[in-house]
Amino acid sequence: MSSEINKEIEEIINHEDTSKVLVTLNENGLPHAVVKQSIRVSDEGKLVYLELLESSKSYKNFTRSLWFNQKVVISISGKNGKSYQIKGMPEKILISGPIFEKYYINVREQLGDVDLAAVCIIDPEELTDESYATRFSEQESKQPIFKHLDRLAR
Amino acid sequence: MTVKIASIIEKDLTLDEVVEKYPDIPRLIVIKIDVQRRGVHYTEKALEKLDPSRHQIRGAALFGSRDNKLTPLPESLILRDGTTVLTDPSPLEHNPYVVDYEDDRLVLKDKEKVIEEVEFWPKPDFYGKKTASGKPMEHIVTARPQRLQVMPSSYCHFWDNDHGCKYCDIVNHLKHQKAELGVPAKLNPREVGEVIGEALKQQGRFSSICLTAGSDTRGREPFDEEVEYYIELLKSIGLNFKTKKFPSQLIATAFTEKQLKRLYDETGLTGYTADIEVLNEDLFNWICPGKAEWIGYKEWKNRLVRAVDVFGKGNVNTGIVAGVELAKPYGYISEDEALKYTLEEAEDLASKGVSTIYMVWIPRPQSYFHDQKNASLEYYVRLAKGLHELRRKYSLGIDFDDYRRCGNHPDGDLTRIL
Repeated sequence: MSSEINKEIEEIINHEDTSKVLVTLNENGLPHAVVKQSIRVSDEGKLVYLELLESSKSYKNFTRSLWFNQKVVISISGKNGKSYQIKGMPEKILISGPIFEKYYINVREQLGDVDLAAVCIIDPEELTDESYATRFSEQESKQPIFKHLDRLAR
Repeated sequence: MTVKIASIIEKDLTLDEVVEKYPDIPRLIVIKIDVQRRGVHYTEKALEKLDPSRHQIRGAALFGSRDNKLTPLPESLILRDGTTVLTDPSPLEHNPYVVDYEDDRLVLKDKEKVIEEVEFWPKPDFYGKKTASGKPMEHIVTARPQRLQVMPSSYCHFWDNDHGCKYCDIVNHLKHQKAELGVPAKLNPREVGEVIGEALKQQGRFSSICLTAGSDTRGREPFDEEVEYYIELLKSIGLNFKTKKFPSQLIATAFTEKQLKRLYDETGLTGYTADIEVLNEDLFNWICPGKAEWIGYKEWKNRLVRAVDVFGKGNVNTGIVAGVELAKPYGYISEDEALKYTLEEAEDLASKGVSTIYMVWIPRPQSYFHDQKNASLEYYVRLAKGLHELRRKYSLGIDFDDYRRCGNHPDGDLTRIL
């Protein structure tokens, strides 16, 4: 079910200037969207986000999603105008062990006196190109009537 | 006997049936409960993957296990949501889950069916090191994935006149452990502080310290010696921290308010647990005769409530050994009845700021109840749900004893998403 993230998209996701948003659902089904700049692609092709706050709503929602098989969504927007949406399944939450400790040390080196609650791993299942140029061109070819007439006027 | 156990298990709902019947309880938590309830057996293939340089091996413990052995097996398991499962190695004739290795991963199996992927606990860096006096550090302090555990004294004075709790094997296990591993019966506070200092060098590994030991009735006031010893230990541990308070839990006897104030004021302690074990006065008197003799059921509850005034709401709880309320011959006859009365008593405590958490009862071979059987999986799931709902109803946090800082309470694991 995994969707492969190609090298070009991986570079956009891993770039520090890219805007990255994680969307999870709360227990009432309401979306909770939060910027999570720590999102990146792991060597195994999974998406990883570092949860710095044990008390965060995203972390509770992510745990609930892992428990009850709900997807989460990640939206990224690169400096080059490219934008993607990735739907994925929460796969693992690491709270201990060598990988957790590696990230813990790394995040503290980068951000100072912060904590790390969990390393959250997502299996990417569906990737869509949400860049405006791509979506506009798609619409123009598939649904040519979706336009204002003045654009066609002499 | 084997046939008897197997036929009883067949009557109970299976894991899949319970998961289907209770869709609001996560499957992973139901698995945890059932693994604790039935125990585990490690295959040779799984044990070949056990690497003592990376994985934590079973070591010093306060209580024994169902296999009644101290052989070097994996300490325990962790699930893919970070849930810890304190496992109890069990003989195959007890119908345990099986930990096996297949398709390049460790898996939990029920007979031949793969249930879930699992991992061994990671070994902490201080294991294998020695104290200044030459003792193995893992004999002084043990570890869970995120917790440091100190068991300062493995002797319980309720056993002096044969009034130990009937499900408990603490003193018998102490003798076994001391003889075979050389684990000291009582720890030196200075040495405990030394090991904690070493453990803290591992960045990101630990998020709390828990002290737990047998009761000590001695002192000017009963239990003063126990309190004095904990204060000494906590002060020594506290030397490792730059703040007065540090995330910590003491699981101990129900102390008087004066004793609790001393613990809170003189040390860095932040959380307090006094296990009442069973939420029924008659059963308490029968199952925990030492606690009944020295404190009594009503006073135990009173002291828990008074502890909230000292430690604050959300920092005090009590543990029950879930399932002993059904022990024969004096326990509840039906699980419905046991659940109803247990939750009623838990609600009384919750309404006064005291949370109740449970441990799955394991009938240990060295305990008085060694030949009894614990409750059904469905019972434990309903109990977890009931206790969790009480915490939600009374806005009772359990942060100091949750999935990360403890990991031994399925009901407490549910609060992760509250």
